[in-house]
Amino acid sequence: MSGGIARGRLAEERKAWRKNHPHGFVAKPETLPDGSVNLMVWHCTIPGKAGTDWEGGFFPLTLHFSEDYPSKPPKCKFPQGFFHPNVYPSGTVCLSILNEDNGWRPAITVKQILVGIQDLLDQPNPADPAQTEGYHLFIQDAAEYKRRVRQQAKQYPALI
Amino acid sequence: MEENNNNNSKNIDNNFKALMKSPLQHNALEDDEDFSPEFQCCVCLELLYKPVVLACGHISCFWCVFNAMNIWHESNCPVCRHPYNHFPSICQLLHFLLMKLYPAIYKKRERQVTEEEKKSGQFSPEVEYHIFRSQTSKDVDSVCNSLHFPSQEQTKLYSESYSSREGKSSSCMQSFETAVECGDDTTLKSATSSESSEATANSTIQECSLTVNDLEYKAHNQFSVDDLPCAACKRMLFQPVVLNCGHVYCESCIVVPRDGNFRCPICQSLHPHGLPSVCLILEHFLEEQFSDLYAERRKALRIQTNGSTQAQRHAHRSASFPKNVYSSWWVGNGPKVHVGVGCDFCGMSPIIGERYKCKDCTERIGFDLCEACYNNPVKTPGRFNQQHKPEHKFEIMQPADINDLLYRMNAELSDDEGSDATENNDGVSRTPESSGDVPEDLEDNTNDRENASPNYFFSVDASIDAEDDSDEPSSDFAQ
Repeated sequence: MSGGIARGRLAEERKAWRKNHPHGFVAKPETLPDGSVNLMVWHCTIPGKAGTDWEGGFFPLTLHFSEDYPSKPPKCKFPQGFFHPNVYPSGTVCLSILNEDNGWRPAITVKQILVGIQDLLDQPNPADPAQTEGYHLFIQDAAEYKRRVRQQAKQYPALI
Repeated sequence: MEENNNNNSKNIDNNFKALMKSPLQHNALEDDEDFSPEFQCCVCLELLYKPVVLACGHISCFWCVFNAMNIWHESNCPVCRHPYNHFPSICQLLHFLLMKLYPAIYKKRERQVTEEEKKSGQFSPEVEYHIFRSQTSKDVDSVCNSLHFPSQEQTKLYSESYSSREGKSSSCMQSFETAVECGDDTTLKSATSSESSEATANSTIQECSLTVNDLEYKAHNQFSVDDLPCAACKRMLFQPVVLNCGHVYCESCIVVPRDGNFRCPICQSLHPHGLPSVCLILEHFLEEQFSDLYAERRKALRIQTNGSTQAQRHAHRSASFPKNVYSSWWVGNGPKVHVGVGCDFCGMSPIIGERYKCKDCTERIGFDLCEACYNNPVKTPGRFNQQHKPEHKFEIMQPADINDLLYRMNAELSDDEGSDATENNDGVSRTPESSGDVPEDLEDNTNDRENASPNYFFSVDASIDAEDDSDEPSSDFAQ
């Protein structure tokens, strides 16, 4: 448990994830070039929900934890330019449960974060837009929005 | 050594189950990893240690609650975000329950936390076991006590008290006593004991090789209804609520006066903001372990109250200060708000109104009281084990200046590497607490946070000094 509570908690998160995690999801702490594990950055994959336009996509997401975790939420990032109304151009996900002043609670686990983001993919929140392109298409051009989502899902096929 | 212990404990554990025919479900497993998920702290995901129960009934470790608290305004429960202004005291009943349920893991947690506390120079309060114990379980407590503060004297005391107990088979008693002796030796890490336990490890069951672990299991076996009494009616708890002071009552045993200011009958400390919610985790545990008794209590209560008072009670559900108490101070027309400072008695954090700081307490974390607690002095030690004495003198402190705080905040913001600052929440959320509220955060390898001090709560002054090493000094925070 060095370096405050963050690492200890993340070690427990890792244990819990290994024991049991939702199907199709990946969550792994980063491995540094020297072979050591950096618990503060996790590389994850979120599968698009079956039966939605996001199906077939395996979207890479990086969780950046701070030393203040779990008092503060991790920053969750898709690749830059990710197409979604609630994802900033930088890739950062905008979601109430990831907002410290809004919905974040230290009790929220990595699993809940990932499942929450999976839900967000198909259920964007137009009240809280984070990028213009995704937002406008979602509001104004449902057909084009759908096409873009499907196209993006193809861009991120399963890795194996 | 570890392995031997485990193997042995398994054997002996089985043996003991047979011997003692404990009526209680034996759910403490040998495996370190296994404890009921109900007793997992939602913040650190480990077994709760020195549990604190918030007004919403959710439980977390002392340090976990403390670290998750907000220095600027009210804090939110880490589980449900229920707002609260008071940092509750450790719930001793739960503390001892956990100690008995999972002695090995609890002990491990104790070691872990103590180590971190030593590193950070801040200490959680010691829990004195005799304060709330009932007489019937006294002898068992001495086991627990001797486990944690091993001394020959205590062990002897325990063996004596144990052998005076009736109703247990003599063979069981014998092994019990040997266990105490060996256990004590092992904790003291005397060379002879480790030699002897190695020697006996190969033979199947040798009572002499009982280790601390085994001893702890016995302590577990002893946990009973007597360990879960309501502080008022002395019967087994029913729909338990935990007050700000950490004392536990049946919900029905508490009547909140009309003004909502309820004092704990035991310690006379004020429980702020009305009745807390039932601690469901504890309730489930009671229901599971003592289902018959619990059902009986439920029935009795139903007849007694006819549900009439229920509506009234709920009118007094725990609430918080209005949110604008904090903001009104910043715009200059409300009571003072002492950012980052908590009252060492009632736990109000941050302190609203006058702040009294002890001039004679030398601990780094300081000793502060709110006005109400200053006017009703108490003899308890500080929340962080400060050795405060009644004869100590106090001085009134003025809250920090908002401009000063904002300046500090900005200085810290610019230090942050954050790339997409625009996406961050508004500035206020990136408060100095971001580096300060992790007391264990004193490791050298935490690179940029080396200068961060854990002292934001309950006394800001020291931490600010520490920080001034990195930023330009501004006017003294506390003036």
